[in-house]
Amino acid sequence: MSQLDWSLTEERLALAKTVLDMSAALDDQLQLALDESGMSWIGIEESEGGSGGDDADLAIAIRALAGQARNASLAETAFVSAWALRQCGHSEASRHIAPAFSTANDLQAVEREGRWWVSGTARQVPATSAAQLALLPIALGDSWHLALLPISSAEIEEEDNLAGEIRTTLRFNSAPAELMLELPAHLNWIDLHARLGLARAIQISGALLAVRDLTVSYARTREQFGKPIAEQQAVAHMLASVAEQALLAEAAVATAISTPGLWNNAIAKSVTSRAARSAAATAHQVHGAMGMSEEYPLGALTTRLWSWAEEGGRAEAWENWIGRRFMEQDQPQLWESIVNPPESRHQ
Amino acid sequence: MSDITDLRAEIRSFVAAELAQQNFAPHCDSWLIGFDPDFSARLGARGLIGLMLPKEFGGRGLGVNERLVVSEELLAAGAPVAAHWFAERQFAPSVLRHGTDAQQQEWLPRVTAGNAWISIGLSEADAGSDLAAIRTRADKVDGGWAITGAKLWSSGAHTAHAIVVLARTGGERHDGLTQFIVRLPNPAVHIRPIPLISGEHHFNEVAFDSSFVPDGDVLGPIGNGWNQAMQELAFERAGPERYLSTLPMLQALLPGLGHSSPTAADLGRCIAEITSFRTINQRVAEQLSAGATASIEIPLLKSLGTSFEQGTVQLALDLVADASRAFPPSDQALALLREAQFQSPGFTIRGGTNEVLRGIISKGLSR
Repeated sequence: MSQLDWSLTEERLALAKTVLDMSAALDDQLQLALDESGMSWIGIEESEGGSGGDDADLAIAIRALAGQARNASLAETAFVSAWALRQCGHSEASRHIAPAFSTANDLQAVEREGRWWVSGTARQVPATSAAQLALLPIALGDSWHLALLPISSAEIEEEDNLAGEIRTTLRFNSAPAELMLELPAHLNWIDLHARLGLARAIQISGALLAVRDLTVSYARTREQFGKPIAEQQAVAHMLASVAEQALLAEAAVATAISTPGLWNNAIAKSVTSRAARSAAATAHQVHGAMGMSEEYPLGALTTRLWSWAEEGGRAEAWENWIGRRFMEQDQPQLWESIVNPPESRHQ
Repeated sequence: MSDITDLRAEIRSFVAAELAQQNFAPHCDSWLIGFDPDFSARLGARGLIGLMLPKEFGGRGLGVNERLVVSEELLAAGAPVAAHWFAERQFAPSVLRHGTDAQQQEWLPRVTAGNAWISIGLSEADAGSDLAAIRTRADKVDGGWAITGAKLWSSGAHTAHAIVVLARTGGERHDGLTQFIVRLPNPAVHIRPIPLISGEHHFNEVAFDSSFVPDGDVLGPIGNGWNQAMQELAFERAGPERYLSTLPMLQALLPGLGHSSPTAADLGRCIAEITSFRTINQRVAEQLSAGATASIEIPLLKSLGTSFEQGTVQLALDLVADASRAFPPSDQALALLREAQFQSPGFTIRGGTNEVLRGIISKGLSR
């Protein structure tokens, strides 16, 4: 099946292939391979020690990793943290930075003796095993700032999501910030959260393609009643349903990658989160008991889909945000808001 | 990109002027039920029909994305485009691809002028989802063909200038089918209305009893009808009319909604999904234009989009019932809801049921 894609150039196809090859490595070696190949620094200018490239390049690599159900921090560090730093005119091309952009934070900072001291709790922080630093959004007066702190300066409580991906609680007790960067006035906490949402959306779209292919392949080979179950009309329709959700998710992500901004990020996360729920359920139903087995690859994908659907803002939260942003306009026009979104904040 | 922006401004200004002059009131499903020859003629006079057709036929020789912009703007406005819709959407591309010089000279300028109203004769009583089971046949006679049989659910046949009939000229199933342009009204063709549950008349039974069609009105090579019909169906299935049919209803129900309406999230979901459908639609249109079949993506889009459309009727009922409303919906909005509810079962049936589409998708995935 041909892929609906934002622009699969030769280079990007090669990039995806490289990531696929790398993903055969063990977890810690995979991170090393991503670092040493420069994959981890895509999106950072070469003049600043990065690998160059853009969001679409990164998305291709993130999607490929997600489809392999591998734990690597590319989505969090390169796509989210490096992007956030870039908004503040800063780049970091040797150390990994974990973005603490979930909704459950409670953080404050005070300035003393020419330094900023951070206290409070950051929850659900991803990528803390790969990262040396954490990036914490903090409101100071009317503007939002990003505090960069060593993870080692926090009290660390490691947890994981359904897929076993690390999601840590970091408690800071007057820890000194290495840097305190002010976000440009047009950005605030919601933009950071939405960027994390888009990262999860890209991952979901990658995992959904893998779930689709796995489910189709299973249904073609698994025989019952003397024929492949894919030939049962009820099952065939379930395969189509999984394919529908994979396509919808891919389109939502493609829209956000080609026309970046808060509005399209919100759309991408809401659409992919619903697609994830629906396709995961259908894929399990097609697989029967086999999908429940730890040895079979479906579970590694669906547990990620379940987790990613909830992280970075769940479907209902973003739908509500879009709907309210739409309705707060004077005489809201549905079609006009689709063609020319009311929230044109560019990222 | 700026060409697209200019074109969108052009079609919007046309629609705004039409609305200002009260030339039309927005309708749901306006591509099927909004029959207004004068509107089509005015649209054609502005060069806004058949944008992809060559200039020699009155088109603009533009690409798929330009055509999409005009289509989606007209549908979103609920403009009465039914008179010329089928002619522009599937008849013109088919004539351009398979028609003789004489057919192109005769029909394409009429299409771009908004003065070709074409009905599509595919389904029959015993050939609905299983289209290859059609029994209408054409027998060779001196100077042409004699068609015998009956087509069912032919939209707009009672007002059309011609119906494109898929008939058997030999063979079995997909082989030996041929397309004929049967001119209407025609004393040898009997058209019987099939009133809908709304009481309205859009569908027809069209009966042929040795009805003569001259050789010059055969469309494409003898025996190539199935391929041509499938190409037309690709155009038919891949458009914004598969997700925008009810947009005028949703828009009309918005005034009066409270800002804290519990349905805000549902509207947000609507916006998110339509945005994604548009992206799919653009890609599919580009694929079709590049000569690809997009044989899985098209049924995927139609299945997704029409299921969505059906869901908007429930959303509309919720919007009406919203307790936080500052004032009740207008009579016009309620009329649009009524219209949409009557039309809604057809969303997932016409142009191939979603079940048939899912079968096509599943087979394609397994290849």
